[in-house]
Amino acid sequence: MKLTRRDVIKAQAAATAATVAGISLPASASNIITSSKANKLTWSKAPCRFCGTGCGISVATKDGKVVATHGDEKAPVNKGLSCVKGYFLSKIMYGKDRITTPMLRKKDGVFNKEGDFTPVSWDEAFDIMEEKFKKVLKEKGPDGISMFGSGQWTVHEGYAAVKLMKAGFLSNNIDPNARHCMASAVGGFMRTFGIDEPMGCYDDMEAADAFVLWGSNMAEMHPILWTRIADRRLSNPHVKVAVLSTFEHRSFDLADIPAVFTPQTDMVLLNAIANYIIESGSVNHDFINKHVNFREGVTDIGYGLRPTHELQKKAKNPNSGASTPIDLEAFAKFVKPYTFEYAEEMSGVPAANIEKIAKLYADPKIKVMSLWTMGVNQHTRGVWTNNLLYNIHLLTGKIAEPGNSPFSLTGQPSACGTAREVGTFSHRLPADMVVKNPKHRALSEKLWKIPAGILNGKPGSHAVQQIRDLKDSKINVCWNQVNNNVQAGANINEEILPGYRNPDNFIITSDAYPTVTAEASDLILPSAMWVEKEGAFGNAERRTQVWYQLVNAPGDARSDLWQLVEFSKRFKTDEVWPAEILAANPEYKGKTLYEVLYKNGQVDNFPLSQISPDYENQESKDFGFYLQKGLFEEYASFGRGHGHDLADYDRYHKERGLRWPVVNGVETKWRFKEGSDPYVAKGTGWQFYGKKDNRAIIFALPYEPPAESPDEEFNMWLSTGRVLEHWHSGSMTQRVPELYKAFPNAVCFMHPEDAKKRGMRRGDEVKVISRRGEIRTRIETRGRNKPPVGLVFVPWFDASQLINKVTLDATDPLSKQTDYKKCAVKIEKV
Amino acid sequence: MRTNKIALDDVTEESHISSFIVLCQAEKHQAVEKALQEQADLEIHGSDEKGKFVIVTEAKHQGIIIDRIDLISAIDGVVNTSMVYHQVAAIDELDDEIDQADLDQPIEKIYEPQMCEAPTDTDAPSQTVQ
Repeated sequence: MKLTRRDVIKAQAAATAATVAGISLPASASNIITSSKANKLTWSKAPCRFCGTGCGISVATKDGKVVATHGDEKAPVNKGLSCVKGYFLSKIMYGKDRITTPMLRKKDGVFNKEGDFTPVSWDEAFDIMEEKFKKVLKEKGPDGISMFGSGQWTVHEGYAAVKLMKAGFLSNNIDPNARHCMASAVGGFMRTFGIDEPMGCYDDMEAADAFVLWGSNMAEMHPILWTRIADRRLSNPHVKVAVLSTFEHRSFDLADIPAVFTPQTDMVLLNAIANYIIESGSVNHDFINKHVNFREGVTDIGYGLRPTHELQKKAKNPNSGASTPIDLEAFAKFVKPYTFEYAEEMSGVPAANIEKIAKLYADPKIKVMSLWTMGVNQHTRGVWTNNLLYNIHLLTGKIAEPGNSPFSLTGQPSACGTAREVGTFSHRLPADMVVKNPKHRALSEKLWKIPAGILNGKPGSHAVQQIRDLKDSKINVCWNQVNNNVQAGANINEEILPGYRNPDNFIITSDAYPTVTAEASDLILPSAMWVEKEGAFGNAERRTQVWYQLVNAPGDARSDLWQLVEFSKRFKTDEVWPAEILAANPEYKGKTLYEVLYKNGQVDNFPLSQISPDYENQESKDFGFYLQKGLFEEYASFGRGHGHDLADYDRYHKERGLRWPVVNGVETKWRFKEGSDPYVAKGTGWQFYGKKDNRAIIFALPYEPPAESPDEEFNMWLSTGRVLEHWHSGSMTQRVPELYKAFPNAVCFMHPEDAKKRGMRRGDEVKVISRRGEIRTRIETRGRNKPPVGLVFVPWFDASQLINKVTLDATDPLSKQTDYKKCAVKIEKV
Repeated sequence: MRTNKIALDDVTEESHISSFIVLCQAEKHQAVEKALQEQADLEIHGSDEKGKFVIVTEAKHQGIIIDRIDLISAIDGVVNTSMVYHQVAAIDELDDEIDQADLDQPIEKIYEPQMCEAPTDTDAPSQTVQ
């Protein structure tokens, strides 16, 4: 029998799918016997580059390129499956417009803000950066520079960045784009539990009897997790799925209890459920007596706008997260007005459906998992809404055990692992510590081996503030890595672009592709991506995953990690640290930041010989020590013994990830629960050890209206979000032509009645207009997203139709996260 | 009938071979199998009585694969299509004949992801291909 290479690849494709499906292939297929020579590929593991689910992918390389991928059947997260984004991972690095050399705006051979992008060497790129950084540091000090990063940074990159900014330049002006997606979730965790990230894990999906989606379209955004939920639902008839959203989307296909609610009234629904739990006698008194405190929060806290904004001036307690202790009785009185009838009136959801959802929580026999993403987090009361969700799980004691699980999902591959755990926020330090706390600073100084008292105790500018500061010339140098803020930030016309093009400012963007952000910058640095470097991500269930560098980056592209560490060589302590600190600590004098931050006797502790001989490691070979291991081990020293324990670095190369805390080599599936969490003392049942008295907090918080609601002129709600084929702003997926084709341009999803009222038809070109700006797009009245009357939905991946020209930069006053989910617009025919 | 959305000028010198798992309602197994057989360019490599099929397809463009998956999802009785394997290869290599000397190992041997570390006992390959 003659066999071709095609037969061999097909046999391999079939065999892989058969393994995942648990099917034995018939004998005829097994006749196609093959060997590694016939389809010579080298297989390695890596977590997927895209979302926060953290699927394991088997990646094949051949002749220095990634040529094949498939879901890793040994990965506990996805068990061999892949979604459409992960399916085409082998293409994301090979877009035609990949940036392979630094590019500087130049005119007549020198930098000019109005010049054209011109290829330059790394030396020239770093020369101009050094000049700009030093000028601003001299004139304005550390507050004049900033860095904007990402939940797509590897753990190593985020750690190197936070160290360079906070310990090197002594500036806290570093924030990740995770501010836009996760900050409210973090705020909710810290306020209720005093420690970040979910207590449960994905294993809850096979243990729960009911799933309630609060503002999450998992069918499209977390398809692999949705498959797990669908399997559970379809193979167990008693299992119920409730889907709540401001418009109907694909997750509604599986909904036993669908509920479309008016924007912002999720808070009413949650308080109504709490009220029902109390009135129906379903409170777990034993649990709350032992493990819960009650507090009432201050109200009327504003909308995180500029202090000069009318709405902000009107607020009584702007930006306040203060609260006072109360008891169950006072809490019951507080939520009493939230009846099902009131909730129906406010939300538009029929009382009978609200009752059905409330019973899933109230019935002690039903194990219930709540899941949420941007609908709850991108909310002007995002932190509060997170608090209200925990309330209903705490009132019933349905928490931290298999199937009973309030679960905050994430959107980026390392929103948890990097942005949150490493602490790349403007107010944070590693392992949930904060810059404001002198003890936290002292511990960080000790672990970083830098002089005592040197760290800056004032929180820096967060994401939205950085943008305002650039416009106002308070910050003059900004370095972006792995994000597309000009497309993803809010209110781009009035805030972002004026800041970028402000003649006082120098903007640097590291990216693999020419995004709108890169093109609005002054210097573009070419980045290595995904398996072109060794890295680590942490997913939504606390799972840390590590991968090797599998291929080399094209041209002069270098990882963000290399860029950060290499740039640190250009600064001496004498140039950036206060003279009195150097006088008191003369041993640091004359040293470079590279020497005090990275070649510091800790990070450089591990020789090149410890790197696997089977893999490349560009950065380590350049610097002469195993950089990733050194950074990881130093970083891990912050969390070990403090509830954030990570395993030894080398172990992660052998595992499909481990969920922290990893104590005595064992991962933790459910935190805070005796028996499954080694930090919980025997005989206590539960300990919420993020709080000093081991008690979580139930917060009394009311419904407060959104910053902007439809009125006579701007008479529609606008909600924004993403679609499956395009991940966030589309800078990678839009390079994969087939993903682009699957959903080529953003459209405005509208109810047919609203279209009819305006004399519009499907396909008509329209303007979506707000008080801030407008975009042109086309009407879609059919298809995957079905808004109710009075609301339009526009996805925001399309660079040619920047919907964020229209959105409002109102934020949650506590988390500073922008509310992209609601503002008022009008729709006009073009 | 729907046509492929991909224009001819997108077609490259590459070919894409993909596999996926189609899950259907068990009682509609036969009808779904027939519908799959009728669809051009799909190869059914295996199935079971629970309603799962292993499908392999080849196309000159990945977008065509997405289109085919869309068409499969539209078949009455199909619950879900799960993507598993994808490989890109140069078209002119695919017809190369394989040397008999390279055909001495069963699939399960080669299909073990080559981690750099020695696999532990619990990490042993779990393939059931016969």
